Amino acid sequence: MKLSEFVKGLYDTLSTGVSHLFRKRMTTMYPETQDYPTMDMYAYDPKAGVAISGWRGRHYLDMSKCTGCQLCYIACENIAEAIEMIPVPGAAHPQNKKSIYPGVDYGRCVFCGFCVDACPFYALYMTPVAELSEMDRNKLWYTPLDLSKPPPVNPAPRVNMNIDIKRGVHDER
Amino acid sequence: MEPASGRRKVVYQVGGSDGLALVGKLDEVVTKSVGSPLGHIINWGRLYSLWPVHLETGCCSVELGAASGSRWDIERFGVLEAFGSLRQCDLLIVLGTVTRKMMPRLRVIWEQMPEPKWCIAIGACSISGGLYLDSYNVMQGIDQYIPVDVKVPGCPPSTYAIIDGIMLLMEKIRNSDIKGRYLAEEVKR
Repeated sequence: MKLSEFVKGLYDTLSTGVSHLFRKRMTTMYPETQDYPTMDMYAYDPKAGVAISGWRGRHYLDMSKCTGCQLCYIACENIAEAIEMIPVPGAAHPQNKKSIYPGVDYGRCVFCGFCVDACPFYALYMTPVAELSEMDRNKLWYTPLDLSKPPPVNPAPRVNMNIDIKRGVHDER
Repeated sequence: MEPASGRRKVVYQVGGSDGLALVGKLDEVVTKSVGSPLGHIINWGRLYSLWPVHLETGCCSVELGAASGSRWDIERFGVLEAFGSLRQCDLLIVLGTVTRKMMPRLRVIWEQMPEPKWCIAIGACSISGGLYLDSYNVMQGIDQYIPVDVKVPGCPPSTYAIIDGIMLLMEKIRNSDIKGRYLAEEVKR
């Protein structure tokens, strides 16, 4: 090996390493910032027959619209059997005579969204909240009252995503 | 089953019944005398140096690979991807479907790891069997066979959901004693 090639190789490695010090950071600092591309909820419009795109995380149940028709339960029956119809005695809504609402077992749910597609009364949505980890298996059961809590508007400060052809996806700072 | 008040009752079984009672007593004394002054320091060292063993049997392993990449860098939390011997590791991450034939191997892996050790079950398959419900060869939840500390639901869970599960495990380690036993009833998130 010539001496000039050796020096050139050293220079190339060092310059590549040093140039990375002055580039933009690629890592999303997750607990402080979050980079949801959209905060829309996954929904389905049964009149138009169109699904509205969004993130598929935890469900959101509108208890003032749910009629207890069990269509979401039937849709889930042959997939994961995650949905159970649970009677909620305290909830007095006139459209739900039997007062039964869907509860979801997130240990079984695969987040396919077929229950949202099956609902003809605009009662089920899916929120972007996907951080559902628990220590106890029984806490993964979400009752209708848990599901009817609205999702946080913006769980973490959001950063804009930038798509670069050379570098891929990185944060805009 | 949990008590009605929602608070978990912590039951310790220290030592054996006959000859090991004295050893158990000594063990308790040593644990208390070391744990009260040095417990926080030991736990601090443990929770920022989790070395995982991957049991990759399904598609959730792709998400853990993405989480350990440069975009979602779980090495920020000290989860070092050390693909060495599992006798040096203290965290078992089960990613994917565990079949009846895989379960003895999982049990062997769990027994080979040194104490203190923790386990995370990722994905619907390893938590409850998931889509393979009432199957003849898929285990309906690995928490019936080995102790699982944190369950991360999803099919597969997102990268940030996995990071959230690891952070929950770090909260658990912070509230443990020096033998790795969980003390606090509720962790506030």
